[in-house]
Amino acid sequence: MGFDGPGYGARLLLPGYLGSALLAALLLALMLICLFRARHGLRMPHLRRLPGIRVLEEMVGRATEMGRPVHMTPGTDDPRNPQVLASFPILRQLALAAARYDTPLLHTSADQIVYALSDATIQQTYIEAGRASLYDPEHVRYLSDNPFAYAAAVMGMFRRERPAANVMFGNFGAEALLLIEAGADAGSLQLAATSNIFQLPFFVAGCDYTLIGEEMYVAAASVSGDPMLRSTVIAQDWMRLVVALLVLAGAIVHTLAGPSDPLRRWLQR
Amino acid sequence: MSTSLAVWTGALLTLAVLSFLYDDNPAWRITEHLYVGLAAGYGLGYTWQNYLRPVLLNQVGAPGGWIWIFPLVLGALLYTRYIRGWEWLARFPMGIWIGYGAGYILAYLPRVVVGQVTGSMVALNSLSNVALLVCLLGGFATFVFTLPDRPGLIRTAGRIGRYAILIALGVAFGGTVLYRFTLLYGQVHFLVHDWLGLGH
Amino acid sequence: MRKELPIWLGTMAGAFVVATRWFTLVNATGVDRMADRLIVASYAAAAAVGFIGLTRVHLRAIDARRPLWGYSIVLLVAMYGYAGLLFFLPASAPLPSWIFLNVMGPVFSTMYGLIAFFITSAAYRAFRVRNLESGILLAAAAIALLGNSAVGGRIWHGWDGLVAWIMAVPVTGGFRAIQVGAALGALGTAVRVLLGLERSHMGSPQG
Repeated sequence: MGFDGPGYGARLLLPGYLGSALLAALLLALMLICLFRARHGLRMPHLRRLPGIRVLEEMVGRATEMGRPVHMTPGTDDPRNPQVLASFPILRQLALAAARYDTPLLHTSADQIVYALSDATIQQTYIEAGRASLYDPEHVRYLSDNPFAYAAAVMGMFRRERPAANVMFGNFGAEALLLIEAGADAGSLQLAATSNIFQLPFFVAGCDYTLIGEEMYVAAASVSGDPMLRSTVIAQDWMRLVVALLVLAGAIVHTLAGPSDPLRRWLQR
Repeated sequence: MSTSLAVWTGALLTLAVLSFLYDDNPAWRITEHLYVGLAAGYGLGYTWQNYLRPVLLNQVGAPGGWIWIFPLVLGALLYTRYIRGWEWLARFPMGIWIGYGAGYILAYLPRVVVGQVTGSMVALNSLSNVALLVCLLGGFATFVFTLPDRPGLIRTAGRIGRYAILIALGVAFGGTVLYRFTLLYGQVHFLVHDWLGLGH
Repeated sequence: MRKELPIWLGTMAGAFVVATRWFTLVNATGVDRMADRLIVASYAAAAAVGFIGLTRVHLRAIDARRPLWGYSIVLLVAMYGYAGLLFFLPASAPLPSWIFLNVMGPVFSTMYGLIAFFITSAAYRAFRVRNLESGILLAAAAIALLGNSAVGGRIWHGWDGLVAWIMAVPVTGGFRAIQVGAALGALGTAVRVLLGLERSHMGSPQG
């Protein structure tokens, strides 16, 4: 961004950020409205139950019956990636189920900070569930920040410890297929969630359940059943309507006004 | 056949990795643990050489360099996880990192949405453009979460969108297959050509 | 204080990032780039956490003579040996770069190559499911595969046009829908974190 760009000094926002700021402000406002309504017990629409959430409990139950562990990975990115952030509520829910069923939960990560955060999440969840003794620091493993070294370690681990269920929830690179295959080879029931469009095809083809894109964030926000968190998902749906109407309006304006297209130029200001 | 130590090391490691396709075996296990160990060692060494050492040697001692003490202390607080009774201090770096990352998302991701929206404002003067819009809006309809009993129009649009998404994923799948086989070919070529010296 | 303060410091850090990226007056000071460098330094200062974790797991395996404990020795020797080398030598020095190119390099390339084997078994599994959705997925994959390999054009001369239309219409529409949805979800997650609603990562329950 050039400091001496046109109109730089005279404007409040940097060039190109007007549409962004408006969208973000609108989303924030809608979320605050939904939170207000939830707090005051006002009527709210119901959320569709995602199949991916329903099976979390089933996965742990299956592992318990088979006497084998459950594995979860948040992928190979750092916690600045929103997909990795979304993995923590799922991890918490999985740890609650693991504590209830007394089944080992293996967690592997490919980023040191994610490892530290996941370790804290699991330990705290076990303490809250009254099963502090179930926490085993050796079950929470940082393997490598090199995606293929990470995949190699997971592949070896799956051959040797054969987890009955595998939850892959986060951002993955080319190593995704190696992880899917490791799980399939061990006979694991597999749930995958990612927004990475390059790896999604392999998850859809190779896993029992897949959450695509936004579904993973909605799963994360609604898995605990907390009404405040769930209410914010409603704001996302309103935003989608706004975006859809913008696209439609833009297409109509573009058809009528031709290349001069004022709406598009205004959004890109 | 090659007489180079480098080629022999590479060839044996390549065979060890490929042996995993058959089963877990000692050659694979040695390679796996070697690779994970080297990658972790490399990661720490790289961080030291490129981030920590320059900060400690060049920044901290320079005029006004005191500011660099703060991030170093903040990062080091993460190690309190290992000191009983002081674990809570590790929440400070975690909280700040997560908040900083969330700020990044909020600052930059709306631009992605704006880009996709403006990119989709197509003139409705051809069948393809209308179909594109139907696929896009249909795709939006598949991600509606607040209507458990979606009314007919949204349900139909959602089904069209779902099919468009599946086609997109299928095309991405097919596009990747060839690329991956090219990479496998490269490694087989290394074994046959560089190591065994065949196929000249 | 122990739970709330880190969360609110995070909120302030997030608000700071947004302010420095959007508003001309704050951005002009260049404080955004300085903050980024400081944050990266703080990450670097914490970079031994995973190292400690690996050491802990594998030392215990050796100590307790767990099955396959010998491999833990391989891992620890490789890890400490390579980290030790890089402590004194730059990565471009002959020995570290030899290890990188001739030990890590081939393993990386072969791991990448393994994906080619697994891509076929993934396709086979999808094919076995035999419902409409996996049918669409595989049909689209086959069309793209033939389109990319130039075989399609020999079977039917309209093939390339069909592939171009699929790319321009359903693929663009489908991917845009995923990306817009994912961006909305990510934004929602960021707001939930910054408002202190989502705090599982701090080891605390939501709400």
